[in-house]
Amino acid sequence: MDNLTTILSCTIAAGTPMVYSICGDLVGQRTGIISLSMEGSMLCGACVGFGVAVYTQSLLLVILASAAAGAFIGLIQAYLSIDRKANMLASAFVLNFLATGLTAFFGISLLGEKLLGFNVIKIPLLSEIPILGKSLFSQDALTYIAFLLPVGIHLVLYKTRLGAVIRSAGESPEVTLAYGYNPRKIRYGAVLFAGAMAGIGGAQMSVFFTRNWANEMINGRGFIGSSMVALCAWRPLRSYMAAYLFGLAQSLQVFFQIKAVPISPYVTMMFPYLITLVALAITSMSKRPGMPETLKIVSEEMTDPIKKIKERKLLRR
Amino acid sequence: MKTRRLIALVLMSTLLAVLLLAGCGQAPAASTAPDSEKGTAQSTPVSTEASTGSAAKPGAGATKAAVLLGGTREDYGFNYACANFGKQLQETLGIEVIIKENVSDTSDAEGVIEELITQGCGIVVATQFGFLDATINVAGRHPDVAFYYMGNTDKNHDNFSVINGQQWDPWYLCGVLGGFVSEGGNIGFVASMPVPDVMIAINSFQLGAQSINPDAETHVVFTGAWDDAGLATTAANQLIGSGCDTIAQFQDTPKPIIDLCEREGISVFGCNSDVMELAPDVWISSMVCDWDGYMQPIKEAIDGNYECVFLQGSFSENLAKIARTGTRVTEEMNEHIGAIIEQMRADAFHVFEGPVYNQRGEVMFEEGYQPSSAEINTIDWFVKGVIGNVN
Repeated sequence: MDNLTTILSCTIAAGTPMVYSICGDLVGQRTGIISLSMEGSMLCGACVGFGVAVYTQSLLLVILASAAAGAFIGLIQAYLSIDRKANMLASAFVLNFLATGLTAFFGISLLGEKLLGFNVIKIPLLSEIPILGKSLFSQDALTYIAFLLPVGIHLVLYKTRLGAVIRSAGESPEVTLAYGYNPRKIRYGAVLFAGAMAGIGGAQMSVFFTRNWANEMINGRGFIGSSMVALCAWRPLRSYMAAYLFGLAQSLQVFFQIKAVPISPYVTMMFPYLITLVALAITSMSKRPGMPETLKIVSEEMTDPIKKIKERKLLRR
Repeated sequence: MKTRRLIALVLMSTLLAVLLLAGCGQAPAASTAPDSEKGTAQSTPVSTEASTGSAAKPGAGATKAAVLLGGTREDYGFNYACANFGKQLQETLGIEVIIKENVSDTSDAEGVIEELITQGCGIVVATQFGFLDATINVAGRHPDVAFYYMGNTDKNHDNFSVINGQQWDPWYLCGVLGGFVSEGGNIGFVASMPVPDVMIAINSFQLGAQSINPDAETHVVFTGAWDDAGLATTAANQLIGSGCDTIAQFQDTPKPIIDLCEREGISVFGCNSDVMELAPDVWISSMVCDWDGYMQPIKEAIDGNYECVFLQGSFSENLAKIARTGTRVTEEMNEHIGAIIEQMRADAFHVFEGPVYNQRGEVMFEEGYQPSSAEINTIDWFVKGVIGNVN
C-alpha cells in the first residue's frame, strides 16, 4: 500500500512539468510550428520562477514571471521560424544553448537560496482517500492547474472559434486567411503560448518539485515533452497519458532499484527514454495520425528526403 | 541558377570571414596593451612570464595558477570545494589564481587551457576526470607549465602530475556515523553512475555502517545522471518512503537532497563538500578533499623544484578528510571516528582488509588480505548488506 502511494506520488511529481510542456507545444504544433526550444523555455521558467518565489513568495507572480521567461524564448523561436523561415530544429537547438548560458549566468545567486512557503494544499475529504488521496489531492497549486490544463486546452481547441482558427492555421492557412484571420499572428500567439506553458512547467519543477535551482536542471525534459506531442497524436487529453507515462517510468526506475529487482541499473536508467521511444514507435504506426497538414510537410522532408528530392526532380522536368 | 548561388555563397563566406576577423581584432584591444604586442605575446606564451625564475623546470616562478572546474563553483558539491582549493592556493602560496568555471570536458577544454596559459598561468590544475586527454595534450605543448590532475589515473609523466585524494577512508567514516545515527539501520544512498569512485563510496560506506550495526543495510539507487535535481528528489523521496531514516548521496549538486531531508527531518550526508550550514540540524557529515596535501608539491614547483608526482592517499597524506559533523553527532561518535582516524594516519587500519563478503555472502577478500589501490579501484560488486544491483 505504502509502496503504491510513493510510486504514485513520485509519478505525479515527475510527470507534472511534462504536462505543461506537452500541452504548450501541442498548441504550437497545431499551428504548424515545432518548438524544440521548450527545453530552453522550461529552463528559463525554472530559473526565473525560482528567483521570484524566493524574493516575493507570491504564487501569482511566480506563474506570471515564469510564463514571461518561457515566452521570451518562445518569441525568439517564433521570430526565427515564422518570419525568418529559419529551420525550426536548428534554431531551437541554438536557443537552448542560449537559455543554458543565460540561466547559468543569472541564476548564480539563486544556487544557494532556500525556499520558504509554497507548501502542498490538501483538498478536504478527497485527500483522505487511501492511496489516491495523498498522491492526487495533497499536491501543490501548479499540479492542480496541470490536472485541469489538458481539459481546458481540449475545450478551447475543439469547442471554441479560437480553437478552430488555431487548428486551421496548422491544417490550411489559406482557410484561416479566408476567414479573416492572419495565420502569422495565430502562429506567433501559439508559439508564445507554448513557451509560456513550458516556463510554468519549469517553475513547477524548481519551485514545487525539487525546491531548488540547479544549472541545466531540466535535463532533456523539454525535448521529451516536445516529442511526446506526437505520442499524444496532437490530442490534448492524451497528454495526461504521455506525461504521467514518463513520470511512471522515472518512478519505476527508482522503485525497481530500491526493491532490488534483478534488472541492471543500466537498463532501469534507460526506462523513461525507452518507454517514450517504444510508445512513439507504436503510435506512429497508427492508421489515424492526427498530424497537422503543415507539419506533415516539415516531417516528410525530414523523414523521407529521397522521396522529396525525386519529387522535385520530377517537377523540374 | 548555379552561378548565382555560387556568388551568394562566396559573398556570405567573405562576410563571415570579415566578421570573424573583426571579432578577433576587438577582443585583445579590450583587455590590455597595444595590439601589436599582444599578437607576439600570443604566439610565444608563458615562456616570458612564467619561467623567469629558473631555467626549464615546469611552473618555476609562476605568479598565476589556473583551476579548471567542470561546473559552477556554487554547486555545494565538488566544484564548490575546488573553488575553496583555489582560494587556499591563493592565500597559502600568495599567487594569483584564476578559477575557470563550467569548462566542458570535451576537446574544448584544450582551448580553455591554452587561453589560460596565454594569460600567464604557470600552474594548471584540472579537477574533473573528463579533462584528462585535454590536459595531457596541452602539457605536451607547454613543457614549462606544471600540470596537476585530480582524477584517478596513473598516466603521470614529465610536467603532468597526478594528485588524487582516495575516498574510501572518509567514506568509511561517513558509514560509521551512518551506522550510529540510523535507528532502523536502513540507509538510502542516492548514487549517480556505477563508476569506480561511486562503487568505492557505496562499499566503504556500508562497511563502516555495519562495523557499528551489523544489520545495517545500504539501499542504493542510481539516477544515471551526475546532476538531475528531479531524479535525485524522486529517488530520495522513494527511499524515505520505503523506510530509510538516513540518506547518503553521490551527486554533483547535493543541495536538493539536503533541503528535502531537512524538511522531512531525515539525517543526511553531503558529497565532496563541507556545507553543514545548509541544514545543521540534519547534517551528519561528508567526505571531502583535504587541500593541505596539495599545497606542498605546487609550492615546490613554483620554487623551481618541480617533480612529477603521483600522490594518492587520504588521512596519512593529508589528501582527504571528513567534513564537520552536525548536531546529531554526539561527542562519543566523534571520539569513535577520531580513534579510527588516528589508526588510518598510522597506516594501521585498512577499510577493505579481509574478510570482505559480497552481497551473496561469498568471501571476496580473505581474512587479513589487504587489496591494493588498483584492486579497490576495480571493484565491480557490492559488499554484503548493500541492497541494489550493479550489473
